[in-house]
Amino acid sequence: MAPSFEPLLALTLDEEPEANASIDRDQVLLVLLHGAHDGSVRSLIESARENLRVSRAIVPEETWTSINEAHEALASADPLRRGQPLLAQLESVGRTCQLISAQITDTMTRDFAYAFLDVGRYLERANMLLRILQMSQRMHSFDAQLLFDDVRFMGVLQCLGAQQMFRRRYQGRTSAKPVLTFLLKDADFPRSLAHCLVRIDRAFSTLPASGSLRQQTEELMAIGLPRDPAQPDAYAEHLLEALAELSDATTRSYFQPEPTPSLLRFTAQG
Amino acid sequence: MLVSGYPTLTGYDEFFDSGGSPRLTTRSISDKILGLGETELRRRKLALDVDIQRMGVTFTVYESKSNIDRTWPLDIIPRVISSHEWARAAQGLEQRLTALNLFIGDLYGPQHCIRDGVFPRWLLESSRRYAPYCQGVKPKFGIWAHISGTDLVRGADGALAVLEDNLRIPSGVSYMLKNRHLTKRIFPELFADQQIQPVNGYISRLYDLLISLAPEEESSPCVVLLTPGVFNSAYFEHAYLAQQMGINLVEGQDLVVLDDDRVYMKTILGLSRVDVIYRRIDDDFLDPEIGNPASLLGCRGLIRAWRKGNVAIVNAPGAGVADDKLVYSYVPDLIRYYLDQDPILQNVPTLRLTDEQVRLEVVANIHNYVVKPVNEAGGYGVVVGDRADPGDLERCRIAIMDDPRNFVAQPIVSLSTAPTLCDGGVEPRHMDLRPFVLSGRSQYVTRGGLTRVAMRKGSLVVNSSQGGGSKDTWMFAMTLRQRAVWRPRPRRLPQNRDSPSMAHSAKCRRTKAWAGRKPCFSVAKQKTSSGWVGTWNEPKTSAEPPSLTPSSAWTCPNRWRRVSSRSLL
Repeated sequence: MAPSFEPLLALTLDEEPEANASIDRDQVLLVLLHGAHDGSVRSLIESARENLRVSRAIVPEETWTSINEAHEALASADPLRRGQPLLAQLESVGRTCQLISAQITDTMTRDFAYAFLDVGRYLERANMLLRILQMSQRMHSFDAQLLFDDVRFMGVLQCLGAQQMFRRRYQGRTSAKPVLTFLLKDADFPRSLAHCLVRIDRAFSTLPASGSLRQQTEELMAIGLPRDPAQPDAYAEHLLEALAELSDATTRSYFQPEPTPSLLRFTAQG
Repeated sequence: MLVSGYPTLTGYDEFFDSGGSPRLTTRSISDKILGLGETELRRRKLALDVDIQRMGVTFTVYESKSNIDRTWPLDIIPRVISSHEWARAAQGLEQRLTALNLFIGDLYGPQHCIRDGVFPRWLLESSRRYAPYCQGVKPKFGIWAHISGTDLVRGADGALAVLEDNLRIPSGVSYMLKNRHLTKRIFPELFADQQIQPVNGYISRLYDLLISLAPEEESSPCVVLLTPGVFNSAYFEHAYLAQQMGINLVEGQDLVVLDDDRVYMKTILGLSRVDVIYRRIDDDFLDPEIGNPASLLGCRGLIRAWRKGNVAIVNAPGAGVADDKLVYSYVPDLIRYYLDQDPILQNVPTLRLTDEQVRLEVVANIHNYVVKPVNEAGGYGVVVGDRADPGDLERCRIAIMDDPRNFVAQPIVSLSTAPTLCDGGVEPRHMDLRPFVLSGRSQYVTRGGLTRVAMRKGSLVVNSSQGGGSKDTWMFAMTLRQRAVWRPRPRRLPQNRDSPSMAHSAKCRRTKAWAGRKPCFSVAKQKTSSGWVGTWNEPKTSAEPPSLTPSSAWTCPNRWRRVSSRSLL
């Protein structure tokens, strides 16, 4: 396997990919798009569709149509066609995701369901940001070209669709510290970690009994930059664990508990 | 024209008469649809199928293993029903459901029908759907079957008849609504040109019905739709109806019944009182305390809460006692008994196999009959005598002899056909019609209903669960002239439900004024606003529209006119 593909696959596969020098870009795309593993685009679209199937009474009707279109497009695509068709499939899925996001943002009432959707969306976004940062460091150790900071962090910004906005905020050379500051701490940029945490906190503020969850979120906000901006792997790992804990705590708080006797008494009388 | 090779039929075709010309009802659209040519029809059909897939309109067939994404099969060519004919059929459906609700209430109450020898006690006692725990319960408005889907068929004579009553949890209404939504996209020009009657009033009527059933007068009662979950064949419908009404779609685990015998929904704010449950779960699985103890679909204590009057369940538990194909054979008698009226809609002749002579005749000539298990739905267990293989027929004979109470037999009805776009071109396919009736404070009948089509050539099995397809059902608005004479109003149910006998006598008193006349068109002599008076002439077959004969010489005494118009309510 060409070394630079390994971290990319590691982002989506459950286990470390086997080293295979002969794998090419099309094969990587194929695994990412149509692989049987849970992290492939196809599996993720299927999971999203199943989630929407049970929440159809809540989300906008067009969202169900859009996810069906994406699902059908992937199901009917010929995975053996190489080159441009695979890229086109990838881009098509990307457009569908943006469409669904816009449909939800623009047409859904800001109620509890939306708050949970927002929490989930920004947890996922923060998670992916941190994993891409991890990947950049791992790729750095494989690829000599990426020894240059500006090339490496330019790639990170491109991955996150952040290059143009970064340029508007920081002119000049693309180096580790401003990029990390922008991606982790600039709450004005919607793909930054800080922005994600602000949105998560705002969503929690609309939910009942969210005190401990908001406290957890604030603790995450207070974490500074990595000591060595060029080596964010361990830092990202720590934050990923904290985000996973926040996600679990949200599930425990709202979706798993049996009503306690005191709660039952209160609501039965009320 | 696409239909040059349309086969000549022996039965009744909904689109063409016996001479091969479009019927009066289909004349205005025949050229516009079939005249498009096969290539254009197939292009539109492809667009239709893509739309169905995009919109995720599905109906799961359990035989197809884990595939819960079987797309809903919809034929592109609509079925057309005359609005005159439908006005009469709708009255028949209202009449039928009124009688059936009185019957169920009577069974779970004083049982006058048994005392008076109209309905045998042994039949009630052997009914699988009879729920003794409902005895003494008095649901709001006296209604048990709030939502019903009555299957209508048209035989060779062209008359609509009732094939069966579905009073438990009939499905299909969302497909009726979606069929219209999809067909509008495929034939926008026809909806612009023609006065096709809308069907989408159903959702608001259903919601109004549900909130009217709340046990206590509240400004905004909490209504939920209880679904068994995504693997149920009609899950699409459950989600669609909940979405359209804006109510919560819940599963059994989302509900809890507390010691106060009230039902609560688990929410992130705590427990929230539920007033009305539109359940899409069979009685047996509704409450493990009463039905199947292993059921995870329902909620423990639900029946207890309902019996105490703390929650309304739609349809009411126990309503299935009348959804038994053997009970169906008594419905004409029940209509006469409870309403003192002749049935407007006839039953398909049905043989009770509990009678030994009948049983022997059916077993000996089983190839002439359709044999149906009395408690199944969705076409499961139905044996069509002239199409079943010898092994199936033999098994059917044994089953009948073994448990005659569990089966009825009907002569094979050659269901009407209509042109359907098939692989080989436009071919006739058999069909039925499932209209939906809402019963509460008043009644509402859908305009038309869900037309179900047997997609295999010659097949009479139209059930969606058996791979049947569907058509949109069109009905053109009446002309102003027709409407001036035909003014149906919502039928109000008899209010006094304490005693069916009382309701019976009250109805008799009201109807004496027109006793002896046919209860539908023949009483519709009314002075119209324009000052002339018309009378309906009965059509020779119910499929043809009645004609209007103006008669300025006829005058109507005020007293009589009041009585006759009230009797139409």
